[in-house]
Amino acid sequence: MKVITVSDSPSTPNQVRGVFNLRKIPGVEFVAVHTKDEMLAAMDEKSVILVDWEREPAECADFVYAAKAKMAKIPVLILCIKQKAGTTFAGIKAGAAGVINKPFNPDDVIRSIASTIKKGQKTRPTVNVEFINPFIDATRTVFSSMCGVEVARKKIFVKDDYKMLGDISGVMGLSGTASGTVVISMSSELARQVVGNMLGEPPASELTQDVVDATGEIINMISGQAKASLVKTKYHFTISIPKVVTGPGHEIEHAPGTPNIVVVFEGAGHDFSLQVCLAANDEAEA
Amino acid sequence: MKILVVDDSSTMRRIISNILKSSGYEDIVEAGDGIEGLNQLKANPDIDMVLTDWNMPNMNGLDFLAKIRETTPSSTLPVIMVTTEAEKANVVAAIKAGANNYIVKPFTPEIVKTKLEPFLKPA
Repeated sequence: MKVITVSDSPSTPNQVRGVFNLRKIPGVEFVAVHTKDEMLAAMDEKSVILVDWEREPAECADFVYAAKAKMAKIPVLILCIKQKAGTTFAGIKAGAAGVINKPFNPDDVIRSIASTIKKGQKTRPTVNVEFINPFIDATRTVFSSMCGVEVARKKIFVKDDYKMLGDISGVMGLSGTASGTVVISMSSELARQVVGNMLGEPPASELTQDVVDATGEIINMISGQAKASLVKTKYHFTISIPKVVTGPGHEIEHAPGTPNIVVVFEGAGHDFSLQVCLAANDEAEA
Repeated sequence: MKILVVDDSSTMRRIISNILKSSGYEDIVEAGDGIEGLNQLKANPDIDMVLTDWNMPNMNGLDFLAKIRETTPSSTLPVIMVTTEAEKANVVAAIKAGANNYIVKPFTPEIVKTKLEPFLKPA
């Protein structure tokens, strides 16, 4: 095991090393780093990262994001004094597995690291193609039959940040043997056009309540149809009531550590995106 | 013929209403969930047919259907589920609860018309 301590305090890496020495735990390599580049260079599959960064919560989160972007499965823990809730929150939101409060006692540190490694071994943040194709097929069908728009898939990639590609996004939460979110994000122009087609009316001049409501219905239908296709597999979902978010550059969060797959389509001369961020739960993997 | 359309999406209610109107059925009342649907049935005892979504807040379509069937048999008031829930198990549950037919979203106007045909009286 390699314990990488990221710290803005010179004493913390020594304290961490002291904990392991005190409990006489062999075979541990210790690395102290001070920058993101040093951390990324030191990381390997046997690493555990401890982030001790009291200065700015956002900087603490940046370390976690960078580590997770390079290796989604890597265990990351935040070392923090109890009163620094902002740092704790920012770190967890960025994907850290837990927090060790300072001043720490040796057993807490070792227990937290062992438990985080165990949890990390259970998770499988790999891209599961079984999930994606039913959502791609459902998107084609819904746009064709309800919106009168034939769509073509342009590209597919994994995206970590929360920024949506469109001006209006319909979000559906899924839970069951796999859980996560599915999002459809369109430009204002495309959304107004497809909703006009759905209603058999000219496109609205702005993002009206009708466009918002219909965008929710589009993601509802995509999710429902994909859910029905996946019933033949081990993945069974319950779908919820859709939500719609609007505004240029709006953000929608997804589960940290789970691949967020973006499929870009072209339809009626506009690009739009489908985002699928789903992870199989233990029940499906059993 | 008076038809009640129940869906929490106002867009979906309009799409279904437009399809019905294009077939000559102009007398349409709407509701946004099962509770509103029951209120509409009380206020409009002359409703001849109900089209209802499944996933809705407050009271979902299956509970709404069960409430209707406590007092009104399927031969008196046809209820058609119009829903994204496309799994066989859902269809079976709806039919067992007393649905007369089942339409899966997304649909085309032709599908809706075909599925409703057996229950429509002349416009």
